[in-house]
Amino acid sequence: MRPYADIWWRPTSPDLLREMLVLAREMGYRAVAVEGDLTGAPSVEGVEVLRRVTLRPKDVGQLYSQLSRLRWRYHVVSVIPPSREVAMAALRDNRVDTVVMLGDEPIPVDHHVAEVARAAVEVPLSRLLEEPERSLSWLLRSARWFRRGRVRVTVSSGACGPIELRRPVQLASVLIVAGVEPEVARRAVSDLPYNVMRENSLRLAGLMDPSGVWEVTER
Amino acid sequence: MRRKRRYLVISVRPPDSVDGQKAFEALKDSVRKLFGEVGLLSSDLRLVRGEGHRIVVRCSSDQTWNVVFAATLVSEVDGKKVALDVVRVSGTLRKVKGFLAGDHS
Repeated sequence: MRPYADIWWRPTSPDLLREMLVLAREMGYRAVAVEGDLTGAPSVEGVEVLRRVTLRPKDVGQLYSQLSRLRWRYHVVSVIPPSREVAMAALRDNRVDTVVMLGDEPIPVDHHVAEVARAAVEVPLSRLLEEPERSLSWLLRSARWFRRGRVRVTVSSGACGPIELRRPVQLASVLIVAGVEPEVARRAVSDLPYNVMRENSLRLAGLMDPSGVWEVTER
Repeated sequence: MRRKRRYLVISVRPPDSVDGQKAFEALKDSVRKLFGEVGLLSSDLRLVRGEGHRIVVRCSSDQTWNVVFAATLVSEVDGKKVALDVVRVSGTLRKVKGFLAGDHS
């Protein structure tokens, strides 16, 4: 069975988080990344809860200083860039896991982005629910780069509460209607986010070094 | 040639917030808004079962993903915040009935 994962939740209270976790288990999610304070966060068997930070730097300098301060304190580091310059810097930095190009001012994905992107582009469903027309326009223009596999893509819910959660197949449908192959779309809500979270967990636990090499100790 | 169809089991969340017919109307509106009148007609969207919080809709096989996407973008029905969860997609009504009979409430 695919390890479905939602890479962005932002619940406003521990009670909401508990409700969301119970629902996520029913929906088949195996891991979720939560933004915000996780002190006293509830746990639900079968769903791994990991920490996420979403950076909103004003410029490239601020992006780098935030990354050096916060990278190894969170399982998932995402960036919402205010400009194309910051977006390009975030995309090529290997300390960044995902970049939300579909912010208040959507930044188009083009061949320049495809040339440098190491981080995945994240498509939050919450933006599509808030501003469907603008978001769909961005998605349709950008999808050709996801189709070609030149730019890695993931879809998250960006949910603040249970009502904003959707099943993995529904998150995948966002990419499929834009013309991305079903298999690529399914990976965008399973293998890609799950592997990002899993590898960063291992790094935080000291079992893997930042470049992705396993730490092996002799017994 | 007979058109291939798909049956979708859609769960309205929270249960009892709106009736099945209204949820189906919201789904139709969403398909129309996203894909236009032609998209709605070519999806051949029909309500098969509308009682309770689980509805069964039928659509043309090649439009299944469009309908799933349209259901994903429904967030409000009759001024109430709701979500339409696509819990099962099947090629035959018999399988859908089997799925519903096995509960999965």
